[in-house]
Amino acid sequence: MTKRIGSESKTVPAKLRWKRTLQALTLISFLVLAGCWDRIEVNDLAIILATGVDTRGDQVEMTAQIFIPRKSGGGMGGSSSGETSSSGVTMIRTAVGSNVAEAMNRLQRKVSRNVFWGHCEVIVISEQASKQGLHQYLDFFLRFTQIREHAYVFSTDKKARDILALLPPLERSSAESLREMGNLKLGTHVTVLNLAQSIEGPSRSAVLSRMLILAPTSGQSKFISDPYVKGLSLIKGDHYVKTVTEPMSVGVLMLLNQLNNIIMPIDLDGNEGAVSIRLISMRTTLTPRIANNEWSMMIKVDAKGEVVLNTTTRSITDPHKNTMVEEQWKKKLTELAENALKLSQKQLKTDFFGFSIQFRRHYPRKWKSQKENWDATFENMKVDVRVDTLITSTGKSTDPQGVPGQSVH
Amino acid sequence: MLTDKGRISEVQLAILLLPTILATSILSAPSMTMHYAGHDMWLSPLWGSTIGLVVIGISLGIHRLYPNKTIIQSSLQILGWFPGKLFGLAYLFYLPHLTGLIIREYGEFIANNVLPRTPLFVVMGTMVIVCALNVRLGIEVVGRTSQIFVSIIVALLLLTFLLLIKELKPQEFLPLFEDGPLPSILGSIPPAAWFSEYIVIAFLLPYVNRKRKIGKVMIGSLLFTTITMIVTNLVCLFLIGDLTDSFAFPMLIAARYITIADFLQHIEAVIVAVWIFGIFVKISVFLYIFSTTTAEWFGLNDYKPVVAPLSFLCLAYSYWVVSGHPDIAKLLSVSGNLYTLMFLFGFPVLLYGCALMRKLLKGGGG
Repeated sequence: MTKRIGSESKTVPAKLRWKRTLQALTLISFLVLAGCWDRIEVNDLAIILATGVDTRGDQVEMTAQIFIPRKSGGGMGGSSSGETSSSGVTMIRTAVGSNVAEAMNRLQRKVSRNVFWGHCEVIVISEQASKQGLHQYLDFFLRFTQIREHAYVFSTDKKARDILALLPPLERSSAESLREMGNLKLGTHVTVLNLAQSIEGPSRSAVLSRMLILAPTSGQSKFISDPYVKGLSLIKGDHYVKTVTEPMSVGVLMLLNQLNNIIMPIDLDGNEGAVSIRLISMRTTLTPRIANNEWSMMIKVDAKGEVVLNTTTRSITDPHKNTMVEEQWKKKLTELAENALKLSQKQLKTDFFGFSIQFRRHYPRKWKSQKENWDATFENMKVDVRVDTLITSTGKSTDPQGVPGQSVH
Repeated sequence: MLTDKGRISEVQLAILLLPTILATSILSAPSMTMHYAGHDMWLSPLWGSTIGLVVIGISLGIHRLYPNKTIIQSSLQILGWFPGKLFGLAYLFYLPHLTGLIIREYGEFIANNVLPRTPLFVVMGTMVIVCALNVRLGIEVVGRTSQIFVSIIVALLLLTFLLLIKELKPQEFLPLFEDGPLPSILGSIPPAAWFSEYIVIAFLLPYVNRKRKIGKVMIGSLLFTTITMIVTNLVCLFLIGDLTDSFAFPMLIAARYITIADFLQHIEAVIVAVWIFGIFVKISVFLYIFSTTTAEWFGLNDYKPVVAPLSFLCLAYSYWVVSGHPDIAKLLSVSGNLYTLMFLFGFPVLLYGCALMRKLLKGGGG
């Protein structure tokens, strides 16, 4: 090969020879330019799966859940899966700083590898921390380039650190459990971007899912457990104000148009027993109205459900009975909605459901002129709740099952 | 007469212009527009495109009066030798400034978002070398590369928009004209500055071989850029809403936000690819114009020898024009945009006015 080129180069003109040399140089430079000189290999990275924010005094305590690659590889064998989950594929590191950025910087000193935040899909903020204001966290999460805007945000009344320390038996990490729960829409579905939007928007409030720690099965280590959704944390301005749990949280979710995955027991008047209805779909629409300078809001809820349990003795397929159940359900939903409204309007005086966004959309001029008095307007606003319920299915059975002697008739 | 013997077709010119306008605007225009236009920012490119229309009209008008001459050459005939040379000199000073700014904008974006540890000089230098090679090979090669890259850009942009559909909230469309129509018109200044870059037609028209349908083709190109800008703004508005102006590159945030079925995520690299392909064409076009303008001004027969030194000059300018990201923001703000508009819109309008006057006087005299 070299011989041939050598023999050729004697005949080629000087200009072409230069060209050849340049080409050869280019080819050689590919070897040098492959990018290995300043690389960071995957095994030089500490991949962060979740971030937790707590406070210690007036300082910020930041916890990172770090993925341990070795452990997850061992689990693939299958035979020793129990061992894998008990040793865990994640670990946590905590650092304290006067603000969130400093805490993050100090975190790096406790990790031997380059901390990488690009895969942080979950952020847990303790209620203690959000009591002091979410402003600095949101700014950091939306400014620091590595953190993703799509990360889910959760709240907790415990320490965020404890939730991240969990090693769930079912999922690879508690970050994964949290993320899956976000996808299941058990509570509110809030990403960093959504949170910033709702706090910076005209409603100046936000609602976060509240996560607690499931008590571990007896005999297990206290870390072998899962986080679970219980209630909602309400945020006014950028401060945490209140926690609501069922049944209030159901009403709040309903007005937020985020109610999913729920089965409601309905008691029937004068009839022993109850009917349970699984929600199939629910749509809440807000229609603002300004008439004679009076601001009012129309809330329309369309709910469709399916009967999953009937402990009464009468068949639900009977149209009369069906209407009765629908009426009762409607009453229950209306009551839930009205309680949530009372909480929002009278007690906390915060526009959690985005009324102001609707007014701004539909009456931009009037909204602009009334913007300063919004708090007073909101508190005294007349709100009509109209609920429409429909039972679309009664499940596999028509008549009640398990009633002694029923089929003899 | 011309310093390059290559010729392109009118469609190639139209395609060449797409990334020249869109490359930088896709990333930074939504945020800048929203700063002034508020919620109506999606409407602003529509107002801004009228500037593009005027600029296209002027370029074609001057070219009709003085066929097969670039704006620098025809200015000598319109204004006379000395004022004409002054006119050209102004562009000799302005073009490296603009090109340097574009290079710097590219460098800052890549350094901030993709290659944080790579020195800025390497990021910008490699791009300038490739662009200089492209320019040296002549207008035909610049035209061809843009044809290839535009198809990639369009495909990738469409993909991003498509993947985002799930996350978009069309109800963000309202309120319309919250503060009356004025803000959306005020907000049209940044897009207008981009549309005024259509003046590159005046520099490139002589290289077009057949010009029968040139008007229609240029309007088509303008429509395409306007629609792309409006769609980009709408996507940002529907996804990020009122927060759009608080991000430096909203479209990048949008691409980062894509999460489909838990595995189709982290595809902001797509937007970076769009940006690199687009900016390559954009820098090439401006380097080409700068090189040919210089060659014409000094009366050279061939523009090729000046390409390499001028590319290096532009690279140096990219350090001289700004010292950091806040400076870029200032140069891209309204005052900066008015500066751009002066050179890319004001001067050509004056030149065309003079040309028309001269024609009128001549016609009246004869």
